Amino acid sequence: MDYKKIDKDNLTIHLINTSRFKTINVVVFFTREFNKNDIVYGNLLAYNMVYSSKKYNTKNKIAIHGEELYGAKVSSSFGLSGKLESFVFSLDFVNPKYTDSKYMKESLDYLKEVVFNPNVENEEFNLEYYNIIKNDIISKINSIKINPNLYAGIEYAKIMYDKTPTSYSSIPTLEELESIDNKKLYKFYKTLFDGSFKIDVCVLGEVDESIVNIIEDMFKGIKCNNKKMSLTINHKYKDEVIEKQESLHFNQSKLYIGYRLIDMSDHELNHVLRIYNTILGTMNDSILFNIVREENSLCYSIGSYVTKYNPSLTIYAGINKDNYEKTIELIKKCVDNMSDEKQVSRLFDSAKKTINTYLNNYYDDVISQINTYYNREFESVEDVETLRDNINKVTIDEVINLNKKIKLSTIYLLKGDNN
Amino acid sequence: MKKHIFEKVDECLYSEKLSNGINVYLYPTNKTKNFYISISVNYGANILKYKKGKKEVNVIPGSAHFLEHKVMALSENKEISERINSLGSLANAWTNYHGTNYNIFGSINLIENLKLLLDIFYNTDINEKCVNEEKGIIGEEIDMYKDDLNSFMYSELFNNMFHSSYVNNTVVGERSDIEKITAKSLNEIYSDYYVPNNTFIIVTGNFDINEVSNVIHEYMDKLNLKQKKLPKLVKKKEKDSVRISYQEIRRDLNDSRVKYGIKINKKLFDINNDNILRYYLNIILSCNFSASSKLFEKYKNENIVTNMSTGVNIIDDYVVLMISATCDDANVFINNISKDIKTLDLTKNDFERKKKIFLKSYITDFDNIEDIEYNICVSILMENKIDYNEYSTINNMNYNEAIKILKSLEFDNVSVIRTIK
Repeated sequence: MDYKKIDKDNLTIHLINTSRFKTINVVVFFTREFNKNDIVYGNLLAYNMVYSSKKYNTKNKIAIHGEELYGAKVSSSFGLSGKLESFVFSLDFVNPKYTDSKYMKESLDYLKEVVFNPNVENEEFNLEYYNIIKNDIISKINSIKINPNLYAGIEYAKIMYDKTPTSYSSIPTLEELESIDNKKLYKFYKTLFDGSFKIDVCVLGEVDESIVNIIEDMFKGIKCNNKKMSLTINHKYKDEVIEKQESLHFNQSKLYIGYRLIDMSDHELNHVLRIYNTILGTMNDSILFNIVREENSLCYSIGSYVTKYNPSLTIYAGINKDNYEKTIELIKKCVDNMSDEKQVSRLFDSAKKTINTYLNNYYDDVISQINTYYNREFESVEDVETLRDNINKVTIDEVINLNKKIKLSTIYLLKGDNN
Repeated sequence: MKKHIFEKVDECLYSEKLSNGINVYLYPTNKTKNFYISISVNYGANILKYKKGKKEVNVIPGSAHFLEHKVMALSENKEISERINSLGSLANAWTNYHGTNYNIFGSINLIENLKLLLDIFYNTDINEKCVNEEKGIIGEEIDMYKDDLNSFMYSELFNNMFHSSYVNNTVVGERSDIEKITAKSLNEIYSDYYVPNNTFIIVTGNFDINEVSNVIHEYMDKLNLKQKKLPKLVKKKEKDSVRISYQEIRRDLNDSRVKYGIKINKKLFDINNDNILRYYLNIILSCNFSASSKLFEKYKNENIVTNMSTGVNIIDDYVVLMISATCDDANVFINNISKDIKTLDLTKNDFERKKKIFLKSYITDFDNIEDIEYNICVSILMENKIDYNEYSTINNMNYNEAIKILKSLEFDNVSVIRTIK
């Protein structure tokens, strides 16, 4: 695999040349600092731009065109990560050596059409399709309350991350949706190219450097913002523990427990915490899995994850509401066990090896590779082998001592009251 | 070992049938640092009654899945669990209607992992205490699936469409079912179905095929298991009609979810190969209901649906075509689809274009060793064979045959499930 970064005045191109995959991926990122008012535009724009375009001005036409290109697909999303928001347009298509060389140019033209030639007339997105997309988003908003994991995750984040960017869901509210129209949306669309956003284009696959000229040409005349941005949120968590419960008609209850991470160094956040989290909640024989699920039969799913850019650790479990108190007590015990040298030592070497297996997966995963190079624009990201070396240097004492920097912050229960 | 080449992509699979009847499939590649090992058994939730000699055994729904939990019972086998952890590997298992798969994903010492997986599979200790302890965990898993509206509606609709089929039960069963499961009932199934001639091993990843093959031979020689006659599956005859044609389920939703299922006897189609039939039917549905179809455009423009998708399921002698929708007004959708389903069409252009999507999927599925393992496993469980020329199979599908299938479709046996507020 060869990586080459090409800095231009108006965009940064990341060329990852590899024959590892049978697909070619081109991903365009528009990034700027998070603004909660953009969430609604993010959703409307991401949906509108792939629903139709000026040339392929119906859903049928754009879908047929993708199918003609051997299922080439342009997908779009609006996402929040740390302090930043991004519009992402991703093209994937089969390496033309398996189909026909003409599909390279035609697939790139398809991406260009979606990004630069939206279905707009008189400075407005096509009203008919705008309203269809609006209905789709209303349906998405209404669906939140029938998806217990999504609902609980959103409500937990609101409490845990208290008005910081992480506390917002990328799904807008109905009120926000009503405040926008197709004209305002087009005005916002134009900001993608007026210097408000940093623009990155990642290309991964078996390609030659001629693709750089095609991409440069695609973005000719476009302005971008090259101001340095950071992902990390300096969230001042409150000292007291916030506990909240609410009920909906589900069979199972969803429990989220949030721990704030206090004054961790980069080494602790990137290396020590990774081992801590693996031992506590992600490996086969993790402490949470063993104590809560296997020894006490209280749940089917349980685990933990780290939110790196708003430093926190979250434990989640699907439980029966009658076992709430007992589960909380056991989860607290599991976190306490992370200070116990005997417990940590038992799993320490295995956790490192499990992480090594996960890290190997990087080489097999298109998205991980693209995101690594993209994220490097905003923070120092170690390459996978340096990361592996540094994780392998972590000591048992470092993991045990980390427990002093982890404090309970939020307990949220979505009670399933179907019984 | 026999070497097979997957057409067009130049990927190799080696296969071998051992003297005890177990089949082995090896896919070596140097494009990854990891490996994926699985052992699968052709025993899933579709077996609810079987006969051995004169004895008839009634299987409690959810047993195949429960057995999976007890075979992959790592917390009860600390020694194996610690060895897997010490290699940094991840062990898992899944069950569907057609089979059960036990797997290990790792990157350190494939041979040791392979032996551990075989140890897990062949050294079970299923006792009453551990079975009772597992009921709480599986009960939570059942509740989790029931809270997933889409999956709940699927299982309800299948149950409504069939009179006496395995799909009348979910793979995990109900809480009331698993209460009846005992160590004795699970051990009996294990003894009857977890036999070499009903089992196959797949290894994908970075390894030497001779070394892996030798280890499997040595392990099986030491185990000295013999081929065993498999019990005879007892099935009731299914009727062409649907059992329940309409069901409403109450959910606190502003819009509606609908699943519209059509049950068709397979004998109406002159195709013996389920895989090919599935391809043709998927293309017909996709041409008429996907984003590139006129009907989709119409339904979206007239606000009849916000979302619409289709699926093809083959359940024993029947095909189930399923159309799922999210819509503002379920009645409007049901009225429209009931009329439009009878006017399906297919142009040659559309047919040829849709084939390209399947060809893309065939090519790109070789990018990931987990996908490769899964596709091999599902092919064997569902079709009992692997199509190494699937590229040509897809390419050679012809328009006239598709039209013949389209004309054979009958829409008399319909069942609908929908939400109401």
